[in-house]
Amino acid sequence: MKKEDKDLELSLLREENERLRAQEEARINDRTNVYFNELRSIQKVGEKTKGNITYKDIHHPTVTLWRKDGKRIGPLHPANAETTFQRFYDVGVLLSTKKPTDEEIAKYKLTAEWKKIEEADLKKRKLREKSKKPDQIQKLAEVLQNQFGVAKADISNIKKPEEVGV
Amino acid sequence: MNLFNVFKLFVLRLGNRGANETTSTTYTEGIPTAVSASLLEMEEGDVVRPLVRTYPFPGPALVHSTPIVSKLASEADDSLANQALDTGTYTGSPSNATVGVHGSTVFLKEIAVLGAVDELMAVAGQLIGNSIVTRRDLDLVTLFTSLTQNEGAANTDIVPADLFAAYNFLRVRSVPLPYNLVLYPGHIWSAVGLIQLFANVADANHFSYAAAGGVGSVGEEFMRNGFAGKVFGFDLFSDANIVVTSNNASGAAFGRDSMKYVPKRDFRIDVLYSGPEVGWQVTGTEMWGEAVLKNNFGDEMQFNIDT
Repeated sequence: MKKEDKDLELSLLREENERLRAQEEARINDRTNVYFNELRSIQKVGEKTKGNITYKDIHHPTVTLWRKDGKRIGPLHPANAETTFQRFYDVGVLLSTKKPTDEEIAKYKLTAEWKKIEEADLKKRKLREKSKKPDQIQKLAEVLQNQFGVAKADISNIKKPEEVGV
Repeated sequence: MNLFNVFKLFVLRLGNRGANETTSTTYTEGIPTAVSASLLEMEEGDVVRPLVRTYPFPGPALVHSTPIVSKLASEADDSLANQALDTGTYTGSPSNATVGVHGSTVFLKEIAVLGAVDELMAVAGQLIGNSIVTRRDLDLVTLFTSLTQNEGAANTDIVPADLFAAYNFLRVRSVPLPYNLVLYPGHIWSAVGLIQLFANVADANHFSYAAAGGVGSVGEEFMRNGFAGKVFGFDLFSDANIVVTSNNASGAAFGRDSMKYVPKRDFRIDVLYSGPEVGWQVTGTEMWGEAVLKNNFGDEMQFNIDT
Protein backbone atom coordinates (compact mmCIF):
# COMPACT_ATOMS: atom_id res chain seq x y z
CA MET A 1 0.00 0.00 0.00
CA LYS A 2 1.33 3.36 -0.99
CA LYS A 3 2.00 5.97 1.62
CA GLU A 4 -0.69 8.26 0.15
CA ASP A 5 -3.24 5.46 0.32
CA LYS A 6 -2.26 4.73 3.89
CA ASP A 7 -2.66 8.36 4.83
CA LEU A 8 -6.01 8.51 3.10
CA GLU A 9 -7.18 5.39 4.87
CA LEU A 10 -6.00 6.77 8.18
CA SER A 11 -7.79 10.05 7.67
CA LEU A 12 -10.96 8.20 6.63
CA LEU A 13 -10.69 6.08 9.74
CA ARG A 14 -10.19 9.19 11.85
CA GLU A 15 -13.29 10.78 10.30
CA GLU A 16 -15.28 7.64 10.91
CA ASN A 17 -13.99 7.56 14.45
CA GLU A 18 -15.05 11.18 15.03
CA ARG A 19 -18.47 10.47 13.57
CA LEU A 20 -19.00 7.43 15.75
CA ARG A 21 -17.74 9.26 18.81
CA ALA A 22 -20.23 12.11 18.18
CA GLN A 23 -22.98 9.60 17.58
CA GLU A 24 -22.23 7.81 20.84
CA GLU A 25 -22.09 11.11 22.71
CA ALA A 26 -25.48 12.10 21.32
CA ARG A 27 -26.86 8.70 22.29
CA ILE A 28 -25.55 9.09 25.84
CA ASN A 29 -26.91 12.63 26.08
CA ASP A 30 -30.22 11.49 24.83
CA ARG A 31 -30.25 8.66 27.37
CA THR A 32 -29.40 11.12 30.12
CA ASN A 33 -32.28 13.34 29.10
CA VAL A 34 -34.61 10.41 28.99
CA TYR A 35 -33.36 9.31 32.39
CA PHE A 36 -33.98 12.70 34.00
CA ASN A 37 -37.30 13.17 32.26
CA GLU A 38 -38.51 9.82 33.49
CA LEU A 39 -37.18 10.49 36.96
CA ARG A 40 -38.99 13.83 37.03
CA SER A 41 -42.26 12.16 36.03
CA ILE A 42 -41.89 9.62 38.82
CA GLN A 43 -41.04 12.31 41.35
CA LYS A 44 -44.02 14.39 40.27
CA VAL A 45 -46.36 11.52 40.99
CA GLY A 46 -44.47 10.80 44.21
CA GLU A 47 -44.99 14.32 45.47
CA LYS A 48 -48.67 13.61 45.89
CA THR A 49 -47.92 10.92 48.45
CA LYS A 50 -45.63 13.21 50.51
CA GLY A 51 -48.60 15.11 51.84
CA ASN A 52 -48.88 18.73 50.78
CA ILE A 53 -49.85 21.16 53.50
CA THR A 54 -52.46 23.64 52.36
CA TYR A 55 -53.13 26.98 54.01
CA LYS A 56 -56.12 29.28 53.77
CA ASP A 57 -56.82 32.71 55.25
CA ILE A 58 -60.26 33.35 56.76
CA HIS A 59 -61.23 36.98 56.76
CA HIS A 60 -64.17 39.24 56.12
CA PRO A 61 -64.10 41.11 52.80
CA THR A 62 -62.46 44.52 52.83
CA VAL A 63 -63.04 47.72 50.90
CA THR A 64 -60.36 50.16 49.77
CA LEU A 65 -61.37 53.73 49.18
CA TRP A 66 -59.48 56.15 46.96
CA ARG A 67 -59.08 59.87 46.91
CA LYS A 68 -59.08 61.59 43.51
CA ASP A 69 -55.33 62.23 43.74
CA GLY A 70 -54.71 58.50 44.16
CA LYS A 71 -54.32 58.38 47.94
CA ARG A 72 -55.35 55.01 49.26
CA ILE A 73 -57.59 54.68 52.32
CA GLY A 74 -57.89 51.25 53.87
CA PRO A 75 -58.47 48.40 53.12
CA LEU A 76 -61.25 48.55 55.69
CA HIS A 77 -64.08 46.40 57.00
CA PRO A 78 -67.12 47.28 54.80
CA ALA A 79 -68.87 48.91 57.79
CA ASN A 80 -65.79 51.01 58.52
CA ALA A 81 -65.48 51.90 54.84
CA GLU A 82 -69.03 53.24 54.93
CA THR A 83 -68.33 55.34 58.05
CA THR A 84 -65.06 56.58 56.56
CA PHE A 85 -66.79 57.54 53.32
CA GLN A 86 -69.28 59.59 55.38
CA ARG A 87 -66.56 61.11 57.58
CA PHE A 88 -64.55 62.33 54.60
CA TYR A 89 -67.69 63.53 52.85
CA ASP A 90 -68.43 65.65 55.92
CA VAL A 91 -65.06 67.39 55.57
CA GLY A 92 -65.57 67.95 51.84
CA VAL A 93 -63.61 65.02 50.41
CA LEU A 94 -65.44 62.63 48.10
CA LEU A 95 -63.92 59.17 48.14
CA SER A 96 -64.50 56.39 45.67
CA THR A 97 -64.26 52.61 45.69
CA LYS A 98 -62.83 52.86 42.18
CA LYS A 99 -59.09 53.33 42.00
CA PRO A 100 -58.33 56.31 39.78
CA THR A 101 -56.18 55.57 36.75
CA ASP A 102 -52.91 57.43 36.14
CA GLU A 103 -54.69 59.48 33.47
CA GLU A 104 -57.52 60.37 35.83
CA ILE A 105 -55.03 61.42 38.52
CA ALA A 106 -53.09 63.54 36.02
CA LYS A 107 -56.33 65.13 34.83
CA TYR A 108 -57.47 65.82 38.39
CA LYS A 109 -54.16 67.46 39.21
CA LEU A 110 -54.90 70.07 36.56
CA THR A 111 -58.15 71.12 38.21
CA ALA A 112 -58.61 74.26 40.29
CA GLU A 113 -59.65 72.09 43.25
CA TRP A 114 -56.28 70.31 43.31
CA LYS A 115 -54.32 73.53 42.67
CA LYS A 116 -55.94 74.99 45.78
CA ILE A 117 -55.04 71.92 47.86
CA GLU A 118 -51.52 71.86 46.47
CA GLU A 119 -51.00 75.55 47.14
CA ALA A 120 -52.13 75.19 50.75
CA ASP A 121 -49.91 72.16 51.17
CA LEU A 122 -46.87 73.87 49.68
CA LYS A 123 -47.42 76.83 52.00
CA LYS A 124 -47.63 74.49 54.97
CA ARG A 125 -44.53 72.54 53.90
CA LYS A 126 -42.52 75.71 53.35
CA LEU A 127 -43.29 76.81 56.88
CA ARG A 128 -42.66 73.41 58.41
CA GLU A 129 -39.41 72.87 56.52
CA LYS A 130 -38.01 75.71 58.62
CA SER A 131 -38.06 73.37 61.58
CA LYS A 132 -35.32 71.39 59.89
CA LYS A 133 -32.04 72.99 60.69
CA PRO A 134 -29.70 72.28 57.84
CA ASP A 135 -25.98 72.95 57.90
CA GLN A 136 -25.75 73.58 61.62
CA ILE A 137 -22.09 72.61 61.78
CA GLN A 138 -21.28 75.17 59.09
CA LYS A 139 -23.26 77.79 60.98
CA LEU A 140 -21.42 76.91 64.17
CA ALA A 141 -18.13 77.30 62.31
CA GLU A 142 -19.22 80.76 61.18
CA VAL A 143 -20.08 81.73 64.76
CA LEU A 144 -16.69 80.52 65.96
CA GLN A 145 -14.97 82.43 63.18
CA ASN A 146 -16.78 85.65 64.04
CA GLN A 147 -16.47 85.40 67.81
CA PHE A 148 -13.07 83.83 68.28
CA GLY A 149 -11.33 84.60 65.03
CA VAL A 150 -10.72 80.94 64.22
CA ALA A 151 -10.70 80.49 60.46
CA LYS A 152 -13.56 78.28 59.29
CA ALA A 153 -11.16 76.10 57.36
CA ASP A 154 -9.14 75.40 60.50
CA ILE A 155 -12.11 74.19 62.55
CA SER A 156 -12.64 71.06 60.56
CA ASN A 157 -9.01 70.72 59.55
CA ILE A 158 -7.63 68.10 61.91
CA LYS A 159 -3.87 68.04 61.61
CA LYS A 160 -1.93 64.87 61.14
CA PRO A 161 0.43 63.80 63.97
CA GLU A 162 3.56 64.77 62.02
CA GLU A 163 2.18 68.28 61.42
CA VAL A 164 2.07 68.99 65.15
CA GLY A 165 5.47 67.49 65.77
CA VAL A 166 4.46 64.11 67.21
CA MET B 1 -66.99 -13.31 52.11
CA ASN B 2 -69.52 -11.27 53.98
CA LEU B 3 -68.79 -8.06 55.88
CA PHE B 4 -68.78 -9.80 59.26
CA ASN B 5 -66.00 -12.12 58.15
CA VAL B 6 -63.99 -9.21 56.84
CA PHE B 7 -64.30 -7.55 60.23
CA LYS B 8 -63.35 -10.76 62.01
CA LEU B 9 -60.20 -11.06 59.89
CA PHE B 10 -59.36 -7.44 60.61
CA VAL B 11 -59.71 -7.99 64.36
CA LEU B 12 -57.61 -11.15 64.14
CA ARG B 13 -54.87 -9.29 62.33
CA LEU B 14 -54.97 -6.60 65.00
CA GLY B 15 -54.41 -9.29 67.57
CA ASN B 16 -51.16 -10.20 65.93
CA ARG B 17 -49.65 -6.81 66.63
CA GLY B 18 -47.16 -6.08 69.36
CA ALA B 19 -48.13 -4.15 72.46
CA ASN B 20 -46.30 -1.03 71.41
CA GLU B 21 -47.74 -0.94 67.93
CA THR B 22 -50.78 1.02 66.96
CA THR B 23 -53.13 0.98 64.05
CA SER B 24 -54.32 4.50 64.40
CA THR B 25 -52.96 7.88 65.37
CA THR B 26 -54.71 10.73 67.02
CA TYR B 27 -53.70 14.35 67.10
CA THR B 28 -56.08 15.85 69.58
CA GLU B 29 -53.23 15.87 72.09
CA GLY B 30 -51.51 18.27 69.70
CA ILE B 31 -54.06 21.00 70.34
CA PRO B 32 -52.30 22.49 73.39
CA THR B 33 -49.08 22.54 71.36
CA ALA B 34 -50.75 24.48 68.56
CA VAL B 35 -52.49 26.81 70.96
CA SER B 36 -49.36 27.64 72.96
CA ALA B 37 -47.31 28.20 69.79
CA SER B 38 -50.07 30.46 68.46
CA LEU B 39 -50.36 32.46 71.65
CA LEU B 40 -46.61 33.00 71.85
CA GLU B 41 -46.62 34.25 68.29
CA MET B 42 -49.58 36.51 68.97
CA GLU B 43 -47.95 38.08 72.00
CA GLU B 44 -44.88 38.98 69.97
CA GLY B 45 -46.53 40.81 67.10
CA ASP B 46 -49.33 42.73 68.77
CA VAL B 47 -48.39 46.39 68.27
CA VAL B 48 -51.46 48.60 68.01
CA ARG B 49 -54.09 46.65 69.96
CA PRO B 50 -52.66 47.45 73.41
CA LEU B 51 -52.57 51.15 72.47
CA VAL B 52 -56.26 51.55 71.67
CA ARG B 53 -59.45 51.30 73.73
CA THR B 54 -60.64 47.72 74.20
CA TYR B 55 -64.33 47.03 74.74
CA PRO B 56 -65.02 43.36 75.49
CA PHE B 57 -68.25 42.51 73.70
CA PRO B 58 -69.88 39.38 75.14
CA GLY B 59 -73.51 38.48 74.61
CA PRO B 60 -75.68 38.75 71.52
CA ALA B 61 -75.32 41.33 68.72
CA LEU B 62 -72.52 41.92 66.26
CA VAL B 63 -72.39 45.70 66.07
CA HIS B 64 -70.78 47.40 69.06
CA SER B 65 -72.01 50.94 69.35
CA THR B 66 -70.38 53.67 71.45
CA PRO B 67 -72.39 56.86 71.71
CA ILE B 68 -70.14 59.88 72.28
CA VAL B 69 -71.52 62.72 74.37
CA SER B 70 -70.37 66.20 73.53
CA LYS B 71 -68.86 68.31 76.28
CA LEU B 72 -71.05 70.37 78.60
CA ALA B 73 -70.35 74.05 79.04
CA SER B 74 -70.02 75.32 82.58
CA GLU B 75 -71.91 78.55 83.16
CA ALA B 76 -70.73 81.48 85.19
CA ASP B 77 -73.91 82.56 86.98
CA ASP B 78 -76.61 81.06 89.19
CA SER B 79 -79.26 80.67 86.50
CA LEU B 80 -78.13 77.48 84.89
CA ALA B 81 -79.79 76.34 81.71
CA ASN B 82 -80.48 72.65 81.17
CA GLN B 83 -78.04 71.08 78.79
CA ALA B 84 -78.90 67.93 76.91
CA LEU B 85 -76.58 64.97 77.04
CA ASP B 86 -76.76 64.90 73.30
CA THR B 87 -74.80 62.29 71.44
CA GLY B 88 -76.00 63.60 68.09
CA THR B 89 -73.88 66.73 68.14
CA TYR B 90 -70.58 64.87 68.13
CA THR B 91 -69.61 64.12 64.54
CA GLY B 92 -69.06 60.40 64.20
CA SER B 93 -71.29 59.43 67.13
CA PRO B 94 -72.10 56.66 67.70
CA SER B 95 -68.94 54.83 66.78
CA ASN B 96 -69.90 51.42 65.45
CA ALA B 97 -67.62 48.42 65.15
CA THR B 98 -68.93 45.39 63.30
CA VAL B 99 -67.57 42.08 64.47
CA GLY B 100 -66.06 39.78 61.87
CA VAL B 101 -64.38 36.38 61.80
CA HIS B 102 -60.62 36.29 61.37
CA GLY B 103 -58.43 33.26 61.19
CA SER B 104 -56.62 30.75 59.09
CA THR B 105 -56.74 27.06 58.49
CA VAL B 106 -54.02 24.56 57.70
CA PHE B 107 -54.52 21.05 56.42
CA LEU B 108 -51.88 18.72 57.85
CA LYS B 109 -51.59 15.55 55.83
CA GLU B 110 -51.06 12.63 58.19
CA ILE B 111 -48.20 11.29 56.12
CA ALA B 112 -46.45 14.65 56.34
CA VAL B 113 -46.91 14.67 60.10
CA LEU B 114 -45.52 11.15 60.44
CA GLY B 115 -42.54 11.96 58.27
CA ALA B 116 -41.58 15.28 59.79
CA VAL B 117 -38.85 15.75 62.36
CA ASP B 118 -40.46 18.99 63.53
CA GLU B 119 -43.66 19.01 65.52
CA LEU B 120 -45.92 20.07 62.66
CA MET B 121 -48.77 20.88 65.00
CA ALA B 122 -46.56 23.51 66.65
CA VAL B 123 -45.55 24.81 63.23
CA ALA B 124 -49.22 25.03 62.22
CA GLY B 125 -50.05 26.79 65.49
CA GLN B 126 -47.24 29.26 65.00
CA LEU B 127 -48.34 30.04 61.44
CA ILE B 128 -51.96 30.45 62.49
CA GLY B 129 -51.02 32.69 65.42
CA ASN B 130 -48.80 34.78 63.19
CA SER B 131 -51.51 35.17 60.56
CA ILE B 132 -54.11 36.22 63.12
CA VAL B 133 -51.94 38.76 64.90
CA THR B 134 -50.87 40.22 61.56
CA ARG B 135 -54.50 40.46 60.50
CA ARG B 136 -55.52 42.17 63.75
CA ASP B 137 -52.70 44.65 63.51
CA LEU B 138 -53.50 45.23 59.83
CA ASP B 139 -57.15 45.88 60.66
CA LEU B 140 -56.06 48.52 63.16
CA VAL B 141 -53.27 50.19 61.17
CA THR B 142 -55.48 50.55 58.11
CA LEU B 143 -57.76 52.67 60.28
CA PHE B 144 -54.92 55.24 60.38
CA THR B 145 -55.68 56.22 56.80
CA SER B 146 -59.34 56.68 57.65
CA LEU B 147 -58.58 59.56 60.05
CA THR B 148 -59.42 62.82 58.31
CA GLN B 149 -56.52 64.84 59.76
CA ASN B 150 -53.21 64.20 58.00
CA GLU B 151 -50.02 65.98 59.04
CA GLY B 152 -48.09 64.82 56.00
CA ALA B 153 -48.82 64.14 52.37
CA ALA B 154 -47.59 61.99 49.51
CA ASN B 155 -43.88 62.35 48.72
CA THR B 156 -43.22 64.38 51.85
CA ASP B 157 -40.32 63.92 54.23
CA ILE B 158 -41.05 64.14 57.92
CA VAL B 159 -39.80 67.26 59.73
CA PRO B 160 -39.91 68.20 63.43
CA ALA B 161 -42.79 70.64 62.85
CA ASP B 162 -44.99 67.76 61.66
CA LEU B 163 -44.51 65.97 64.94
CA PHE B 164 -45.13 69.10 66.98
CA ALA B 165 -48.18 69.86 64.81
CA ALA B 166 -49.56 66.41 65.64
CA TYR B 167 -48.85 66.96 69.32
CA ASN B 168 -50.54 70.34 69.09
CA PHE B 169 -53.54 68.80 67.30
CA LEU B 170 -54.06 66.33 70.13
CA ARG B 171 -53.43 68.86 72.91
CA VAL B 172 -55.91 71.37 71.47
CA ARG B 173 -58.57 68.66 71.52
CA SER B 174 -57.77 67.79 75.14
CA VAL B 175 -56.88 64.24 74.21
CA PRO B 176 -55.70 62.51 77.38
CA LEU B 177 -52.04 61.50 77.50
CA PRO B 178 -50.07 59.37 76.71
CA TYR B 179 -49.78 59.95 72.98
CA ASN B 180 -48.63 57.15 70.73
CA LEU B 181 -46.72 57.45 67.51
CA VAL B 182 -46.87 54.31 65.39
CA LEU B 183 -44.70 54.52 62.30
CA TYR B 184 -43.51 52.25 59.54
CA PRO B 185 -39.84 51.23 60.09
CA GLY B 186 -38.85 53.28 57.04
CA HIS B 187 -40.30 56.35 58.74
CA ILE B 188 -37.78 55.86 61.52
CA TRP B 189 -34.63 54.23 60.15
CA SER B 190 -34.26 55.56 56.63
CA ALA B 191 -32.44 58.37 54.92
CA VAL B 192 -35.63 60.44 55.28
CA GLY B 193 -36.65 59.01 58.64
CA LEU B 194 -36.82 60.25 62.20
CA ILE B 195 -33.20 59.37 62.93
CA GLN B 196 -32.09 62.04 60.47
CA LEU B 197 -33.56 64.66 62.78
CA PHE B 198 -31.08 63.64 65.45
CA ALA B 199 -28.04 62.95 63.30
CA ASN B 200 -24.79 64.77 63.84
CA VAL B 201 -23.33 65.06 60.39
CA ALA B 202 -22.37 68.30 58.71
CA ASP B 203 -24.78 68.09 55.83
CA ALA B 204 -27.75 66.57 57.62
CA ASN B 205 -30.90 68.32 58.63
CA HIS B 206 -30.43 68.86 62.29
CA PHE B 207 -32.72 69.48 65.14
CA SER B 208 -32.14 68.57 68.71
CA TYR B 209 -28.83 69.51 70.27
CA ALA B 210 -26.83 69.37 67.09
CA ALA B 211 -26.09 73.10 67.04
CA ALA B 212 -23.99 72.59 70.15
CA GLY B 213 -22.02 69.88 68.41
CA GLY B 214 -23.70 66.74 69.71
CA VAL B 215 -26.42 64.36 68.65
CA GLY B 216 -28.49 65.09 71.76
CA SER B 217 -29.79 62.54 74.23
CA VAL B 218 -32.42 61.16 71.83
CA GLY B 219 -29.81 60.87 69.11
CA GLU B 220 -27.56 59.06 71.54
CA GLU B 221 -30.40 56.68 72.37
CA PHE B 222 -30.79 55.90 68.68
CA MET B 223 -27.04 55.45 68.34
CA ARG B 224 -26.79 53.17 71.36
CA ASN B 225 -29.98 51.13 71.13
CA GLY B 226 -31.10 51.68 67.56
CA PHE B 227 -34.35 52.93 69.00
CA ALA B 228 -35.69 55.68 71.23
CA GLY B 229 -38.82 54.92 73.22
CA LYS B 230 -39.93 58.51 73.36
CA VAL B 231 -39.57 61.23 70.73
CA PHE B 232 -41.21 64.67 70.47
CA GLY B 233 -43.52 63.79 73.35
CA PHE B 234 -44.78 60.55 71.79
CA ASP B 235 -44.28 56.94 72.80
CA LEU B 236 -42.71 55.56 69.64
CA PHE B 237 -43.66 52.22 68.08
CA SER B 238 -42.49 50.62 64.87
CA ASP B 239 -44.96 48.58 62.86
CA ALA B 240 -44.03 46.76 59.66
CA ASN B 241 -47.66 45.84 58.95
CA ILE B 242 -48.41 49.37 57.77
CA VAL B 243 -49.22 49.27 54.06
CA VAL B 244 -46.72 50.99 51.76
CA THR B 245 -48.02 52.64 48.60
CA SER B 246 -45.39 53.99 46.16
CA ASN B 247 -42.81 54.81 48.80
CA ASN B 248 -45.41 56.42 51.07
CA ALA B 249 -46.78 54.96 54.25
CA SER B 250 -49.28 56.17 56.81
CA GLY B 251 -48.47 55.93 60.47
CA ALA B 252 -50.45 57.77 63.12
CA ALA B 253 -50.16 59.89 66.22
CA PHE B 254 -53.05 59.17 68.54
CA GLY B 255 -54.48 58.93 72.01
CA ARG B 256 -56.06 55.73 73.32
CA ASP B 257 -59.65 56.79 72.56
CA SER B 258 -59.03 57.43 68.88
CA MET B 259 -59.78 53.82 67.98
CA LYS B 260 -61.54 50.92 69.57
CA TYR B 261 -60.96 47.21 69.46
CA VAL B 262 -63.96 45.01 70.20
CA PRO B 263 -63.14 41.38 70.99
CA LYS B 264 -66.19 39.16 70.63
CA ARG B 265 -64.83 35.65 70.85
CA ASP B 266 -61.33 34.76 71.95
CA PHE B 267 -58.77 32.83 70.00
CA ARG B 268 -59.60 29.17 69.51
CA ILE B 269 -57.97 26.25 67.71
CA ASP B 270 -60.08 23.45 66.30
CA VAL B 271 -58.58 20.22 65.04
CA LEU B 272 -60.70 17.98 62.90
CA TYR B 273 -59.59 14.70 61.38
CA SER B 274 -60.71 14.14 57.84
CA GLY B 275 -60.81 10.46 56.89
CA PRO B 276 -61.15 10.85 53.14
CA GLU B 277 -58.33 13.38 53.01
CA VAL B 278 -56.21 11.53 55.56
CA GLY B 279 -55.13 14.42 57.70
CA TRP B 280 -56.09 17.09 60.19
CA GLN B 281 -57.78 20.36 59.42
CA VAL B 282 -56.25 22.74 61.98
CA THR B 283 -58.21 25.97 62.20
CA GLY B 284 -57.52 28.99 64.36
CA THR B 285 -60.14 31.70 64.59
CA GLU B 286 -60.93 34.80 66.55
CA MET B 287 -63.82 37.24 66.28
CA TRP B 288 -63.42 40.94 66.73
CA GLY B 289 -64.41 44.32 65.38
CA GLU B 290 -62.52 47.58 65.14
CA ALA B 291 -63.45 51.15 64.37
CA VAL B 292 -62.41 54.76 64.72
CA LEU B 293 -63.81 55.87 68.06
CA LYS B 294 -63.01 59.58 67.99
CA ASN B 295 -61.72 60.87 64.69
CA ASN B 296 -60.22 64.00 66.25
CA PHE B 297 -58.21 61.98 68.78
CA GLY B 298 -55.90 60.71 66.07
CA ASP B 299 -53.75 62.17 63.36
CA GLU B 300 -52.54 60.39 60.24
CA MET B 301 -48.79 60.70 59.59
CA GLN B 302 -48.30 60.08 55.88
CA PHE B 303 -44.67 60.44 54.90
CA ASN B 304 -41.96 59.12 52.64
CA ILE B 305 -40.26 56.01 53.84
CA ASP B 306 -37.06 56.26 51.86
CA THR B 307 -35.23 58.40 49.34
